[in-house]
Amino acid sequence: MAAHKALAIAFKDLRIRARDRRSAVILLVMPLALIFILGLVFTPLWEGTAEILSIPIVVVDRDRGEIARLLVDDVLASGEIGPRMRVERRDHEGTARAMVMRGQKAAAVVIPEGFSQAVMAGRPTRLLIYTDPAQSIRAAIVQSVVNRFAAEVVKRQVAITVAAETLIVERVMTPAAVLSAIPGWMDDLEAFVGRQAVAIAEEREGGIRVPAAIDYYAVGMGVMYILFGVSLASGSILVERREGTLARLRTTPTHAGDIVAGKLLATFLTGLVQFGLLVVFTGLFYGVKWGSPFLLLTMVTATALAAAGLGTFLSAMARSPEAVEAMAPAIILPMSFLGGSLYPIYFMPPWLEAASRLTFNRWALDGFLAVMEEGATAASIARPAAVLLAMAAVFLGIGVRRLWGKW
Amino acid sequence: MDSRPGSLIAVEGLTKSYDGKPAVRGVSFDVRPGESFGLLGPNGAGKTTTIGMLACLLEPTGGDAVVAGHSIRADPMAVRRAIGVVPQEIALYPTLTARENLDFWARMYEVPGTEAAGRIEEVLEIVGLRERAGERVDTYSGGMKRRVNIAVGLLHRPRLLMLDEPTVGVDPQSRTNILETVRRLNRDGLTLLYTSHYMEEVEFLCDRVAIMDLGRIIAMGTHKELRLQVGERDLIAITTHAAHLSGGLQETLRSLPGVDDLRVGEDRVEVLTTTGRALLPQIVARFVAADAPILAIEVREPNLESLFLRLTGKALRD
Repeated sequence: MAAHKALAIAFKDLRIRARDRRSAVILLVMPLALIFILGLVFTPLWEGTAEILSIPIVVVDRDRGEIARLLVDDVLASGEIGPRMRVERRDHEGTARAMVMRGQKAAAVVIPEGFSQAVMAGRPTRLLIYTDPAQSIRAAIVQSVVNRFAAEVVKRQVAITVAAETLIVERVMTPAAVLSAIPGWMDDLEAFVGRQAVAIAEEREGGIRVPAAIDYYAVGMGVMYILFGVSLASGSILVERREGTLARLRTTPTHAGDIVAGKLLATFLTGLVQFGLLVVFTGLFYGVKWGSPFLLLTMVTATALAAAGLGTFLSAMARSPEAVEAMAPAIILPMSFLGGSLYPIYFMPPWLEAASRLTFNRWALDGFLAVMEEGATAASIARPAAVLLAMAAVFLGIGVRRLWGKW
Repeated sequence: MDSRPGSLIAVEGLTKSYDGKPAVRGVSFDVRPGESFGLLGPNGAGKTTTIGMLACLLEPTGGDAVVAGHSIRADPMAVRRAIGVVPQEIALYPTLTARENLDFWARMYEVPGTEAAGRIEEVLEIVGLRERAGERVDTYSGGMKRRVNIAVGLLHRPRLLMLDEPTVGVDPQSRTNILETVRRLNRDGLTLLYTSHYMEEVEFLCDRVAIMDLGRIIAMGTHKELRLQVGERDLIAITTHAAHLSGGLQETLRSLPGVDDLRVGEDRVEVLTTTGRALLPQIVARFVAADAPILAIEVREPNLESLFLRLTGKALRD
C-alpha cells in the first residue's frame, strides 16, 4: 500500500467537499442555526431545571414553638438546603395561599398553633402544605423535605409515647417527671435535622450537573450533524462508482486498499474538520466552554471515527448515493432523539434514559459533557471514548468487508 | 500464456460470464506495437467487457491475455502501469478544474512529482485545452470533457491506449477533433485499442478491426481482408443512353483487369470489382472511346456496416 496515494485520494475528496455549498450549509450552517434556536427555546426549561435548586416558598409559623423553629430555621432556611430554598415568612395563611395560587411561590407551609406542644405531648397534629400544580417538580421537592421531617417527628413521637407509658406504668418515673423530661428526648431531632440536611445535599451533589442549554445543544447538534456529515462523505464512494471514477481508479496502478483507506480517511477528516469548526464557532460566538483541548480532541477523534464507521456501514448497505441520503435521516434522526441530541437526557424517563445508551449519540454526549465539567480528567471520558472506538471498529469492520465484497 | 512475438497485446480464449450468462465467449486476437486495432460491434456485443478485462478492471472467467509482456491474471499491476485507459464514461471530478483532475490522476499513475507539472501541460497541449485548464470541468462542453478524459489516459506516457467509445454523446465537430487527436497519437507511435459501434470511426482510425457480436469475434482483419472474407465487392454503375450500350463496349469493359462481373440493364452498366474506385478512370476512358455519353456514375463500396449486416443479419445500431 502507498500512503501517499491514500492521502491524495483523501485530500481530493476534501477539496471536492469544500466546494460543495450544499454540504457546507447542511454540515455547518444548519447545526449552528439549530444550536442557536434550540439554545434559545430551551433556555427557560433549562432555567426551570436550575430553579429547582432555588425554590420559592412561603412559611406561616403560627406555632412559634421549638419543633416549628427546627423545621423552618434549621431545615428550610439554613444549612445545606437553605440556599436552595427562598423562604419568605407570612403571618396569614390566606396571604400565603394567594401567593401560591398566583404562582409566586411553589409551595406554602403552614405550621398550626400548638404544633410543637402537640408533638411533645404525643398528640396528633398536622402540617399544611399548599402547592402550585404548575411548578409540580419544585412543589414535590418541598413536600418531600417536609414529609421526611414529619416522618422523623412521628417516629420519635411513637418512641417517646411508648417510653413514657412504660416508665409511668412500671413506676420508674412519675407522670410529672416524665412530662418535664420529654423535651430533652426530642433533642436528637436536631441532630437528625442536621443529618437530613446533609443527606439531601449529598443527593443533589451526586446527581447530574445540568449544563447551560446552549452548551448542551452545541454538543447534541454537533454529534447529530457529524453523523450527517460523514454519511454524506462516505456516500462519495457510491458517487464515484456511479460516475465511473472508481472504475478508472482501478485501472491505475493503485491498490484497492489505498482507495478504501483514502476514502475512509476523507470521511474521518470530514467529521474531524466539521466538529472542529463547530467547536471554534460555538466557542467564539455562543460562548460555549468546551473544556480541556486535549480531552476535547480525544473525544472529537473518537466521535469522528465512530461516525466514519457508521457512515461506511450505511454506504455499504446502500446501492446508490441517493439511497444513503434517504437512509441517513431515517437512522440518524431517531437515534439522535433517543440519544439525547434533540430531547435532553435529563428530562427522559428512566427506561428511555437507559435505552439511550444503545445509541452513538448518547456516548458522544456523555463524553463531551464530561469534558465540559470542571476538573475533567482522562478517566472522565475513558468509558464513552472506549465505547465509541468499539462502535467504530465494529461498523468499520462490517462496512469495509461489505464494500470489498461489492468491489 | 506466452505472448506472440511482436505483439503488444495477445489475447487467448478470453471469457467472461456474469451469473453464468456469458458476456464474452473465448475471444482471441493480438495487437502489434504501433497498430491501431478496433473492436467494432453493436451495444452489448462484449467490447467494453473485453477492454475491461484487458484493463484489469474485470477478472476473466476463462482465458488470459498478455499486455505489454505481462499477464492480466498474474501481474495486473504491471499491466496497469503500461496502459492508459479512456473509459466510456467521463470519469472526471466535475467540481475540480481540468488541471486539478490531471494532477490527481498523475498521482494515481505514479508520475514522479518533479515531472507531473510538465506532463500535465504536455497532455493539455495534445488535447488543445491549455487555455481553459484552470476552469472547472462542469463548466465544459461535452466535447471538452471528452478531451480531458483522453488526456488523463496519456499522463504516464503509456505504451498502449485503450479507448472505449470515447466519442459517445459529442457533437460532430468535437467528434472530428477527438478522432484527429487520436489518429495523431497513433501516427506518433502510440498503439491503440479502440472500441466503437460507429463504423466510420473504426474505418477512419483502425488498421485492423475485429467485429464482435454476442460476445464473439465474428470477423477480423484489415478492411480489405474483411471484405474479401465475406466476398463483398465494389459496384460501379454508369448510366448512358440505351442506344450506346453496344456489344463492343460491353466486351471492352469485361476485358478490363480487375472486373469480376458485368451486369447490363436498359441504359445502365454495373461493374463488379474488388479494386474499387481505382478502376473508374479506365471505365470512363472506355465509354469516351466508344463515344457513349455518361449520364451518371455511382460507386458503391461495401463498408463494415454492410459486412456486419451480411454476417449477422442485423444492423450495427440494432
